[in-house]
Amino acid sequence: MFIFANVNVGCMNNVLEIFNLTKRFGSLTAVDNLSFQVQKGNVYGLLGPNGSGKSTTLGMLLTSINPTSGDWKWFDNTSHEDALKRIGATIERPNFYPYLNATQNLLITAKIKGVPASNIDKNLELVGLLDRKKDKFSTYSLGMKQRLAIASAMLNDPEVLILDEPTNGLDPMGIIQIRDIISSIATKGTTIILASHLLDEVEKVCSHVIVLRNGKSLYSGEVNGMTNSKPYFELSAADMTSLKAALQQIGGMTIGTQHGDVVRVDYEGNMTPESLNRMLFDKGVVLSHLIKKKNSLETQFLELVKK
Amino acid sequence: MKKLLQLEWLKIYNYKTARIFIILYCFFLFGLILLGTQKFKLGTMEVDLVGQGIFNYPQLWNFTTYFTAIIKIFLAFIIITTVVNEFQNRTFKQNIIDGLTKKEFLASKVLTIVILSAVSTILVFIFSLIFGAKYNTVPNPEYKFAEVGLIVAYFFKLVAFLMLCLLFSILIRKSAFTFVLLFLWWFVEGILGGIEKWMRLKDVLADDGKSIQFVTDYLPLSAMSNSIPAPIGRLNIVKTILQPGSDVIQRVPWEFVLASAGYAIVFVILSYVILKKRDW
Repeated sequence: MFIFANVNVGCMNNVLEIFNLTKRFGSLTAVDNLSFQVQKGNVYGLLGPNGSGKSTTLGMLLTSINPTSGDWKWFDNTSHEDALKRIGATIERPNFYPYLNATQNLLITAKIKGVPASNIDKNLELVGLLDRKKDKFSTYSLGMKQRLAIASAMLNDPEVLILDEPTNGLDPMGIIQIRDIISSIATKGTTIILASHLLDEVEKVCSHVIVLRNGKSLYSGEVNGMTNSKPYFELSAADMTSLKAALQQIGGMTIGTQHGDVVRVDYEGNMTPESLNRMLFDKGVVLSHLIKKKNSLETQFLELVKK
Repeated sequence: MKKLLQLEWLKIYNYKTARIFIILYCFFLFGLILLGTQKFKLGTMEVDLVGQGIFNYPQLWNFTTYFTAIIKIFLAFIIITTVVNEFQNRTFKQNIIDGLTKKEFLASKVLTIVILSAVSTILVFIFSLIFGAKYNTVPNPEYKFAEVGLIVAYFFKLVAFLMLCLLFSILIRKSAFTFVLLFLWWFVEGILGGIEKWMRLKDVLADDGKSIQFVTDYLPLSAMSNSIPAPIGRLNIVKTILQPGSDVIQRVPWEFVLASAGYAIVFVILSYVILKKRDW
């Protein structure tokens, strides 16, 4: 039996490399000397507060905004315009011809991307719009418009999918639908770049993040490596005083903030929830709540941005 | 090119406003020429345009092209609304992101303009032939096609005007303001022309105003307008009063036709520069 290993050989797997990209609007520097790489098959979150340069960066990569300086490289040095035919992208707001129906709108996209019209129904089905394909775009809800934008971006089976704030302004149901669609696309191995200011959204679907602030990259890499924060425990017991006393006896434990009757406990070295539970039980403390947790992306992000 | 034509077809054919305006335009084109065959009363005076020789060869070409060119504003409306819509709906940006180059986008609009103008030109040509066959009152016209060159002038006049509309639409991206700018431009050209004519009044008087050339005649809208000379002086009634027996053949003012064509190219280049330089 042969096993084909997916060997990670440096830049071999980069689908996108950005070098010192800068965009100035008058005196405002929207994107400031930005460099990062995107590797094949990963889901990237482009993270940052509003106005941090996410959309401007994507706009430049998609040739709708002219960079002030710097450059980027798609795939194997394909020209910027040719590369677009291998990419699918949605921008802040879904943009379609309001007087055309879904099929007609996607027909225009298909013509531009040079893909057969037979791809249309397949992708409308992917986003659950097949039964509304004969309805005019102007009659769609925002959630449906966003889903049509994703169908349009997926029309050419792109190697890279770029989504700019795909859940902006959607209701919880719409957000879940979009998130499910993104997850199902990600499992097919499509590289995804997802720009968002919604941290839990990025946390749920992304393996890598690029954090932007004022047009500068603060971090670029795996979600887990963003800060070298360790896991911690959240504990609760009927008798909190004896719980805290027992923790102090164990040693190497730092009792942190208490929210309600749940206390945060940081520890040194390695410790599994089982061993902690056993130690506390031996000391006569019965836990009613025990969770081993990692810092949420939100905390990590705030930590990073605060620096 | 086939791709660009298909794209434009998808965009315009299904756009109800554009479709209505194209149908209205063809209808008015025919109606306007048909109007020339009607006798009607103007106060106490009976007007018989056929009797005035508007369908006589060869001046028929001058009359049809001159008057039908007036309703090119319908075509302008189609170009302006469809182009402005691309920016208002931000579909231009989406087209670019989907992989259409700015050059291709512009080319698709230029193609639309050339095709609309060509269709209009062909219609005017056919209508002229039909009405000429029926209403020409000159027996055995010798110079039947002597002025057919005005049809060519008509084509370039339309193309140049619509390219100006395209440029302004891309520049302004709002239909109402685009029309305002067109009107302003026309107004400014009129004023400049008036100033030049006033300042050179003594040349005009010395020269009978015949062969004198004005620089402002070559301003874009003036050049387009001068591509087809006004045929009013060729009505029989005017001929008998002012220039008895003057049955001259109207020369096609190729210098203005060429200027219009030149402007059309300049407008396309400027449109491209705006599309390229601006951030979308």
